[in-house]
Amino acid sequence: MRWSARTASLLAYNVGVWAVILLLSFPLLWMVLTAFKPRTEALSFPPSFLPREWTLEHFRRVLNNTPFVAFFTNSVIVAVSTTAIVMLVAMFGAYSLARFRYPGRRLVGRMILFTYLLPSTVVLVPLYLIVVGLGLANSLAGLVVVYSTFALPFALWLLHAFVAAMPVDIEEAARVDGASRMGAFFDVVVPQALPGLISTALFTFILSWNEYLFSLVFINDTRSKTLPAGVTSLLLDSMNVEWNLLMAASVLITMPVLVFFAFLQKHLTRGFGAGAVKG
Amino acid sequence: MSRTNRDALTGAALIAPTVLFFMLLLAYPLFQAFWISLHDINTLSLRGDYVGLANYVRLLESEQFWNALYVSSVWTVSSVVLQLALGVGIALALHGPLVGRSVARGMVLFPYLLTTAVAVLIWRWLLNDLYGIINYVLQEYELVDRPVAWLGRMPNALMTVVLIGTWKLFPFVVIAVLARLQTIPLHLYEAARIDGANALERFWDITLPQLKGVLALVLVLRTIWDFKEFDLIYLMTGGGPRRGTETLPLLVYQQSFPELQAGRGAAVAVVMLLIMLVFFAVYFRMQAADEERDRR
Amino acid sequence: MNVTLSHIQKRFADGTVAVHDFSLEVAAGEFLTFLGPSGCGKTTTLRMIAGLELPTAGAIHFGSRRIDDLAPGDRNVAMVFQSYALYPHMTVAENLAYPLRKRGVPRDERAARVAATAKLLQIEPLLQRRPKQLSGGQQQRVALGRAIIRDPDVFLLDEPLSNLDATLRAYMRAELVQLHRRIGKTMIYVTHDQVEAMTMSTRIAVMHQGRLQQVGTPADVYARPANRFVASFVGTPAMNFVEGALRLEPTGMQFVADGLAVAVDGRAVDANRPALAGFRPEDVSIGPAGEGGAGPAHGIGQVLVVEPLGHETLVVLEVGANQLVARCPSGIGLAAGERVGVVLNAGRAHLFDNVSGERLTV
Repeated sequence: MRWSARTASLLAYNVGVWAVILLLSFPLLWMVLTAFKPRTEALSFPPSFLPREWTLEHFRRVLNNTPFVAFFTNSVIVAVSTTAIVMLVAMFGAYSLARFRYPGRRLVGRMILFTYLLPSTVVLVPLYLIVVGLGLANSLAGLVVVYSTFALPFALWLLHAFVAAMPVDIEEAARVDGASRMGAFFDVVVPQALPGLISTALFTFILSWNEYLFSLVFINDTRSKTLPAGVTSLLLDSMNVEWNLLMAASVLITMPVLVFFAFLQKHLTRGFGAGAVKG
Repeated sequence: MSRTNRDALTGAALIAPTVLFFMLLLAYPLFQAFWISLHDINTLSLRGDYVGLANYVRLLESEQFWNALYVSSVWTVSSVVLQLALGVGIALALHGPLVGRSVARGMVLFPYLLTTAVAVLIWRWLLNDLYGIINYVLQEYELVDRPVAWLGRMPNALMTVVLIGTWKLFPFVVIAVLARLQTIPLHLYEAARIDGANALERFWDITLPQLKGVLALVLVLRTIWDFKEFDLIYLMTGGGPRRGTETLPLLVYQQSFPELQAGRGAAVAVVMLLIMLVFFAVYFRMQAADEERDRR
Repeated sequence: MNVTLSHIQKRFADGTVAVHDFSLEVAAGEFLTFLGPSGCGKTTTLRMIAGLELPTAGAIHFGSRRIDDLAPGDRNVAMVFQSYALYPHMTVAENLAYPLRKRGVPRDERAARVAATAKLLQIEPLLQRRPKQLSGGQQQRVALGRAIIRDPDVFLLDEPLSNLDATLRAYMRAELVQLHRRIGKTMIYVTHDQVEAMTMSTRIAVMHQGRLQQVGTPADVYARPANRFVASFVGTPAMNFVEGALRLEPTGMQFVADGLAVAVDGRAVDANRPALAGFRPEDVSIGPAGEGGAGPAHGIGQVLVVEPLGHETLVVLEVGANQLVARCPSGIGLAAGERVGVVLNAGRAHLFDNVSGERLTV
């Protein structure tokens, strides 16, 4: 077989790039492998690469012998609630910013941008005081309130770009056909914006799912902790660190994110890119 | 009421919940942060005295603050530079004739969405001195003769944190750059090929100028976001060893909660914000220029 | 339903005035076209009639009822957009039914009317498809259907044919005229294409830079353009303009320009004055050029370009300092560089004030 220079360079390119990608993905692979390895194997020296014996014992222990299930439930409650609130507020807000004119509109836009960049550490203590003042200390509701506040600018940013890119004349046609402004919104804008709404909802969920600092500070009661704070505090600070358990817990924490990510993959380049990037 | 006014009212009503959120949970706390920073307050009892700018004076005289500022700067600059370099490189690689491109893209982007806590757990396991695979491989191939203390020693700890931060955060750069690359018309490259330009020249003369805008934007955004990063560094090192990786956000947390000095913590936070305002201004200036250009 | 626009003005937030002091009465049942180049304000005016923009001054009446402040949905108008604006997430049937749904028409009646309209426009086989599965022409029919289905008082059409290819456009022009005849409603049409305006309209309203230039039947606008702009915009190839002067000679009023002299109807003019004369290409013909003699020709020209079109030939001539386009029979055998005589149809000369562009009339 004769190899032209072009085929050779194409091959080299593919091999090289894939090598780098596999290297970058190695940590995730290692997480999965460790989760399924028996303890003795993981802690052996030299360590094995692939498990000689695949086991589910760590998963069983995580689910049965640790508060993991409680953490998981808390995370789900907080993430779902946050997403619901944020999507509702952001959907109307994005439509307002994209399609209406009123005094102060541009100011609101800048304010959203500003809060998007704000470090959470600045408002950490004041928010803590507010949440305590509302009687929501140590509660999931307090977290939902705070998470919604931080997820909102991001959701607005994404949705506003999405709605603004939709052609106006379809809404105008609906209005001429007899729909009110809000009627046109529900009949035409929302169905058309569905892909954007789904992406934004998934992003918001993931944001809430991954949050650490506020969960750490606002929730002291172990049973009420969410996954990131719960798993790290419980298992990492102890004297005897059980890495297999941690890796199994990690795999479980990552599952929802992975599932949503698979959905988002298509929209990721368009959604993020379109909003963030302009020439 | 005229239709224009009715319309404007509807628009305002739709944005009202958002504005409410911001006013109550962002604007008010922001002012409160300033207010707290002027007091010597205990985080638990929430009792304290007004001390004016004493916290700020103390801050500027404390070695801990200047150390945190230094660490923040090193962390931010190194991370951003590495993220940009790696991000552009991978974006270019993903833009080419790669087999299994969508799978590759997914694999590259995933770390960005991975829970930071999980990422930290994985890396601490990988870097573990006794059983971590990285130390094993390094020793096996005789690149080192003893396990490396990645996080237990300086300057290792800061370097390690920077590298892991890069691994986790660079996909943002990839997304932005890749999106822009995909809008560059192919015929520009074709014309250049006909004119005799080689691959490097085509990158330098066509690709790079087209990327200038997005790179500037990503530079500013990543600087802002890396500067305020807390979770990753705190979970990896807690600020150690001996404050070697204590950035400003970590200092705020350290003072506000373990040391229960809410006032001092707030002061550091305010200073952090003031520093970041410079970057905000740059970002806003860029957005305005963009809008102006689009209008024309 | 007649539509009356009284002193309509539209000023945008950034200060630009898109429409100045525009007054017009559209008779019930007529097909009126707003014709003009892009940016002339025709679409803005249409949108004000639809209610998608609000006039900053003036009033709009449907019949005797003032409708300025009514929402678009309350005006009983239908609009066909340039992009068709079909609802992408609904089927064709649902698109057609939407206006009826908004008016609370019961389901059975909706279905019946959808079927009837689909039959009228021959789009029955498309009823269950989505807009993105349709061709441009099909989408346009659906847009028309959505407009017709609810029997509005006024139809508004915003350059509906501009996205179609030339053959389809010609076909749709005829379809629209027949449709208008059949349903007999007031139609207000916006276009920059003067062929569409000429072939379809009862009357044409020519607009330029936000102002109404002239309103009249196609014949009026063609034969007696009110100013230079209308004269140059309507008719293709465009009218030839020659700068010169009107001089009262013993033989009568003469229009004189560089290389050209022709007797014209000078009743509108009392004294010698500079003027702009317009001659349509069909009023310019070519005769023999006798050397040193004027003959029946009004001037001597040199052939620059010969453009054979098959059914006729266009000849571009240089006459003095001017360039004229003449419509000639297809058999004419001319070559570039030839010297020919130029004969003008003096009775059809258009005279304009050379500063204001207004027609010099009796």
